[in-house]
Amino acid sequence: MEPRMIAPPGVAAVPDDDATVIERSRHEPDRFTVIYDRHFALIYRYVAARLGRDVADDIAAETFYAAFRRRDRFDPARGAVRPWLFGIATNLVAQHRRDESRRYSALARAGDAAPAAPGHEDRVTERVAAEGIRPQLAAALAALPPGDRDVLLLIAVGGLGYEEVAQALEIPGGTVGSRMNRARRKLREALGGTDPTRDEGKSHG
Amino acid sequence: MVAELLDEGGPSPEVTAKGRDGLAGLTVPVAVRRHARWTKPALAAGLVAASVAGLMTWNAAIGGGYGGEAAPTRSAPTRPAPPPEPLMSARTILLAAAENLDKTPSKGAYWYTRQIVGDQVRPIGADYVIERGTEIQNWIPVSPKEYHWIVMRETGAKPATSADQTAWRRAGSPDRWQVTASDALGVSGKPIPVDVITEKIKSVPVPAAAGEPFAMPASLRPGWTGFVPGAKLTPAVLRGLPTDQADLKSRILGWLSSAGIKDADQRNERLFNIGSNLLAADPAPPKVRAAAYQMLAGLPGMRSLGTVTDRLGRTGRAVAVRRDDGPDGPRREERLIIDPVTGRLLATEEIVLRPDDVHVASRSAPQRPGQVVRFSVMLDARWTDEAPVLPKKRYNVDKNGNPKKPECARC
Repeated sequence: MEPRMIAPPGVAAVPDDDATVIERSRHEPDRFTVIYDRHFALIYRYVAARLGRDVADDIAAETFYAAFRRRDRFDPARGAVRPWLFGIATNLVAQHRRDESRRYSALARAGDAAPAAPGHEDRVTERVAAEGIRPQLAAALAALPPGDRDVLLLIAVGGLGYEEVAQALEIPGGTVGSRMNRARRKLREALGGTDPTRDEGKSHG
Repeated sequence: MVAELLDEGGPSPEVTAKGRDGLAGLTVPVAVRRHARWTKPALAAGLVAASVAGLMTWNAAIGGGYGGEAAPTRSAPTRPAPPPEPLMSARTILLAAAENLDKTPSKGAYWYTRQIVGDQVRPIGADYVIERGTEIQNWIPVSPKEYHWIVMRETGAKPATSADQTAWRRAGSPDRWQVTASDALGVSGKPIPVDVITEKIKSVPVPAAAGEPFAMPASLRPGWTGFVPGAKLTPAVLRGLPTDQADLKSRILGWLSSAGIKDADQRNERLFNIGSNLLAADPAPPKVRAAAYQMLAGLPGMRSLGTVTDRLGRTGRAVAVRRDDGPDGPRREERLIIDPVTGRLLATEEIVLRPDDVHVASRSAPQRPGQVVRFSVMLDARWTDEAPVLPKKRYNVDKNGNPKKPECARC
């Protein structure tokens, strides 16, 4: 993102791209709240998708606390702020594997209908079609190796591109591709041929 | 499909606000926040008798001067002002500073700085502006195995000018104020989440009185790392920087290019910012500081303000750049105030030239021309082998007072 000149209250104009904000927060820590305001909802959504809302209430915020503590180590040469935050969130999710598998088990139970996500009314048909295969999908997600699941969910839920996933997980781009292909293949097998990641880029990119 | 299966929606306003408060608790340690805040707080104690007390109280609170090891107790305001002189150009001022700077090679385990960072802000409901500050000491270790400690102390708040003081008296001479959270939290780059998160304006108290000193590690990991776009600075990296100004500039431009910063205005602004940090804040060798002055001398738009005084009344020569061109001209000015004798950086200031309309959108306090929205006065800056002197009160430490363990391997 190109830095923009915005004159914020109290301090007059500063370039406010994420990397600059973090740079300035090195000496002016309170500026870090800008990063929170910009990315909290996105990170929360990702964590809640993997761990449920209760756990996400804490973990999403913890992501930003951890990011704040290591802000002087943020390296813009290695990627943007958003994937950096998703990487930290993914690490924290990894410390809650039990919550995550419990969640997928719950979703896999037949008749355990998830609340409709708001804002998707125009995609009712698709959702109804999806309802029938939810249990298998949830079970397949639970069965994925954690590394493959990280890649899949960063892309499908977090809306990151391959390059951003590589930055977030600090793995080569080729590894992202192969993990994604493997995850996609396993889910497809579990669902008898339907590609469950289809359209994800469009609806959540 | 996967996303829909898992979708739990976004955060509730309560959760968002709670997380934000938690973050504010980190950026401004909780106990301190009750008094003021971290980087931009306030001035002297003893405001009740504020009339003349202002600068005198400051200096009493501050103690020794900024003369390096040789003149540790020079008291700034007592220094006679130099005789009137013709206005020097910005280039002359900066080149003279490079020339005058003591370039004896640096020796010491720590780059130690003591400064007061503060700002002027209009409290909620007030028709005057107050000035607040925090004294900040940094021990930046050369060793990557030692921790970078920061010791801070709120220095209090008082009306900014004599006109403000008159208005303050008229208002009953309050000894504490409320400022909007956007001002208190030092600014989101966009309108504060007044409606989005809390549905109301948040505010925090700012007392007139000074606070207690406290310490915290700058990072939960040892070593000092400075961040500039495209590079990670360490004491070793700074030691290896070119001492020729053209080479130094090329090196920094290389960093900026690798970070994708190619626009000329943005590059010049970063050169100014990075160069300014090299003058005193960062642990750079003296010859690199001199090169930084020479590099600044070659930047476009540097203006001379001639002889000025800093927030402590110390006389210096000032150069400035104007930023953020609005429809009626630039909106703010960044100043560097330099000791004409030693070439050392005395202070930096950011001044409002033309207020804009942002405060209307964000509902933060309106600004006025001339308002100092950020200042830093350097009280001490030197290499030392003396270990950090830390007060009992500390944050982000374990029960032994040492830096806490980081949360996880990567963070």
